[in-house]
Amino acid sequence: MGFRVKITGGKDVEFNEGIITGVQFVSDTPDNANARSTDLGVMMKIDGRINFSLGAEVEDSTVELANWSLMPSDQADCYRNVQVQVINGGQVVRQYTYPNAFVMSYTEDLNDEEGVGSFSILLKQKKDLTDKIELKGNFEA
Amino acid sequence: MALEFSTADPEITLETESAKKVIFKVDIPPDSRARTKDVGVTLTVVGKIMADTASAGNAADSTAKLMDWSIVPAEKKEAYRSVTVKITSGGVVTRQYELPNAFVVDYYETFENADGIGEFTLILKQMKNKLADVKVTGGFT
Repeated sequence: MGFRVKITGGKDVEFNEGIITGVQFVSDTPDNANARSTDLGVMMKIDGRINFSLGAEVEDSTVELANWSLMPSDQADCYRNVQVQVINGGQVVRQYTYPNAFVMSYTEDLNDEEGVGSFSILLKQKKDLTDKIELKGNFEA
Repeated sequence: MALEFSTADPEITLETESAKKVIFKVDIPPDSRARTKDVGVTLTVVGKIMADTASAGNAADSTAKLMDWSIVPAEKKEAYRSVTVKITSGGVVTRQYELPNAFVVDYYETFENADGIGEFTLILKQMKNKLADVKVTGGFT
């Protein structure tokens, strides 16, 4: 199963199967709700590798994720368009599109045992625009 | 992958044999409805505490200086230091984190009779009103 992530609206970056190791779609309402809550938040967690390029020939786009996470809220491009595709056997199993995603949490983990680093980013669609999310699936890649 | 940790003013340069792991984290409160100003930048460094077996009078590493930093009272200037972490892999600087006004949130040292060496964990945060000065770069030689 492969994952492709495309982030546009700031400095555009794309990640493919070689970088992304896992994605998680989360739709979340308060756990103490007595009935269906209008307080619906939709999040996306993306995990991946920080590969280093030999001789620094290829630009490492993951550094842009770090820069995005540090971006102050008064800048327009702290909200970006994120598209995540889950691809298996020539089929797009899922395609999630968040047009106004912002960074909730971003972590980079580097150590002297694994050789490459890893990152984890937790995104959320701006809550008043939750209905702008596009969820599709089961079409040909 | 080699980790270089250093601080300026006063200076601490941690030996690359000593630093094992670094985690860079940016987060905002988990209940945010949109991107907030309440951003926190945390840097965690885990490493070894070694002993110099050749000359018992000398320190084998600079971890004792980290220990000293962790007990500096807040009213002193030295409580805030400029921290740089550089991760080098295959001749390429994969990541360079710069926190120009970092302070110690937590520091602990653990020793066990099953291990030949000790372990330290240093948790740093960038001063919150100086967040714009945090820099993450990477992919250069």
